[in-house]
Amino acid sequence: MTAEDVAFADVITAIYGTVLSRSASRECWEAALRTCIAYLGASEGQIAQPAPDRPGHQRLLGVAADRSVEAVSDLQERFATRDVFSAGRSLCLEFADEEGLREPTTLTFLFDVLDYAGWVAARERAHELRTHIERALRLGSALHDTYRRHDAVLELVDRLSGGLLILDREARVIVANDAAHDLMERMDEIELSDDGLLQHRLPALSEAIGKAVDAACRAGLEERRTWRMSLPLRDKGGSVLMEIEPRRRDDHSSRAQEGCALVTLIDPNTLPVPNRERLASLFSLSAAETEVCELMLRGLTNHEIADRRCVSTETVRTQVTSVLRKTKATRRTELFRLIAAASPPMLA
Amino acid sequence: MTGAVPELDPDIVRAIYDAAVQTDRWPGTLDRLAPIAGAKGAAILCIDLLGGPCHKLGFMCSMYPPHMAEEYEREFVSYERAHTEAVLHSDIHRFVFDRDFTEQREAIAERPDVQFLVENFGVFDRCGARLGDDDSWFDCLAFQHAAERREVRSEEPVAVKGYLPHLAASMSQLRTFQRLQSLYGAVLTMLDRVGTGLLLVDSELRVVVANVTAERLLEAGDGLRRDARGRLAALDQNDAITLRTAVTEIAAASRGEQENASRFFGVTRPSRRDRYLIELSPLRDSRGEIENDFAGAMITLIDPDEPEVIRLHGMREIYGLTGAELAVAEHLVDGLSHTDMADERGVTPGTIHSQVRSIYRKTRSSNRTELVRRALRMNLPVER
Repeated sequence: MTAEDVAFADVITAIYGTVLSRSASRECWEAALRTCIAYLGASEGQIAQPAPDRPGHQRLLGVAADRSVEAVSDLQERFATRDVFSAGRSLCLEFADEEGLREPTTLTFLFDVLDYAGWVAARERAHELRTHIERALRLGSALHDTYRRHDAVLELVDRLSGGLLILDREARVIVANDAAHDLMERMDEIELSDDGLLQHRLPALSEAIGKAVDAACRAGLEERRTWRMSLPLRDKGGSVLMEIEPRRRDDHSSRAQEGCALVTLIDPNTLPVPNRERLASLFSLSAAETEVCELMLRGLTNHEIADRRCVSTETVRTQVTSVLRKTKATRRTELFRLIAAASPPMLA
Repeated sequence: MTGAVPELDPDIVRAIYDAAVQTDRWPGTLDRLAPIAGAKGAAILCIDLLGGPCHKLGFMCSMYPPHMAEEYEREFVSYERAHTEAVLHSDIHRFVFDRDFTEQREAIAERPDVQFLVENFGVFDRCGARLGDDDSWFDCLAFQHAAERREVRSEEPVAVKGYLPHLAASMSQLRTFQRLQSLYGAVLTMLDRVGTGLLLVDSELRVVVANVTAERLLEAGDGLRRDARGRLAALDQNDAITLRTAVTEIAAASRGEQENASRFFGVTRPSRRDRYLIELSPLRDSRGEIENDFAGAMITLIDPDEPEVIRLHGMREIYGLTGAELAVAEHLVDGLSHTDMADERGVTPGTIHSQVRSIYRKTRSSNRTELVRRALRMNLPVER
């Protein structure tokens, strides 16, 4: 390919085509670079970015012209001349990131044969390409950064033991965590329609949910109202609690997100088990005290605890007193409350 | 008409892609495209094909002030439905004029939408072209030509053809950004619901995400804070070392270089309150979506000093407690004696006694301890 074969429009398409490529960005950039090389009439080209977690190191975003990565150091040496017409016939352009905190990204092209006039022309074209490559990299990294945060937060949300969902005005599920999916499956009462709408087996309840969701979506951000409903379980008896409330923070808002409802699903039949290590560490409890504490939380009486641990009731009483002293709780109920406060709502 | 597509102006290409993330740049960008097409005005209409028949306005050139655009959207957009449909069902990048799909050319001038545009902006002939061929949305680039130039030649807008693929690419980037940002906002809302401090930090303790509870604890600056470079920092020297060591180990674990394990430790508070409890655990990538170059830790931050208020409204809903029973149940959980409750509520101890019995029956609890346990079950430690 020569410069005449590749139009400016093709190079632009290739460069901006890298923005939405989430994985394999390297392959994508190499393809873009190959188009740039053809457009400039160069023989080789590379983009080197500072490595994010290794200061002083460069990460090659793309090397074109069928070179293996091993040959890159050699290439970099030859490319050392920056934007100067020299024996190396190379052209190296730098662009710093927005804050200027990192090392600049470098864009380098190498030409086999080039006279001065040719170099001047190539230089002008390369400078034009640089502005587009810079934009594409910036767009791509903005997108990548949001993906990264989004995935990380999703990961966190999935570890919460309570079921959480975000619904739009029509009760369509925008996002739900693992606990919500698990609970809905176990309940066997709520399901998602083909177009993602949250529906209850009983039409009356479906309607009530829909109305509450709609009201929550319409409520202002200042409004602190909660719609609660008890969803009976079909065969198992008992109920699951559903709480619907308006979305709270608006600093991440975008048009599409206006009017969302936050739904919490709580299964009263499961008690988050406090982590033993956490208990011990928090109140400096001994191993025996930690176990007594756990059994108390399960609702066992001193007698039952003594039986379970094969010790006298007297011993248990002493240990319970000790636990209460260390936790500065005056009663068992207060102890429960303390422990609930100290237990993050995470899955074990 | 010649087959050659005119050269692209690099400045306009830059403007088109800049507008993908900075949407306030669309008016300026459209202002530059309109004269190329020989038009007076330009707009991009975005229509969600899956979300029903709603017609969402996209971006306008600066000739149309926002309040007028809204008026048009509200009052007149329905009249151009047939035109929009014609563009939608036409080939992509092909400009369709009003006159191309209607037999009665005189009728065009009578349409309220056309009249509105003639009166307010002096434009008459209009054409639109579909930008992409996606099934779920429809983006249309539209031009409005000056009214004095009746009968605009069909080939005139062809001069912008070279920009159409780039407009389509920019719009698709814009959608991806907006969708992702609104999803991100939604999951953050979920985190904020939790009354425990939750943070994500990278291997250098830089805070990537923090929920409102965590922000509040960091702002209090009582033992923990966010330093000038946005990193989580402990005030106490020893705590700072423990924190740094832990995050290095955890980051290594999340890279898979070490056994997956959590770390617990307390953080001393200058206020001498009970120490914060910190738990670090690796951010494992169970969905396989987090980029490889992110090695970090998730942190839960607990303030044991914060009294856990047990709210019983959920219980009332599930077990069908009456208003009086709810109040008594709250006293029970607070640890009041029956006599105290009777005094507090101005009723006889006998009344309290029967209410307590009723509460136990309804909640299937045999004693106070069990009632508290049930109450706790209903209380996700969530922000109230």
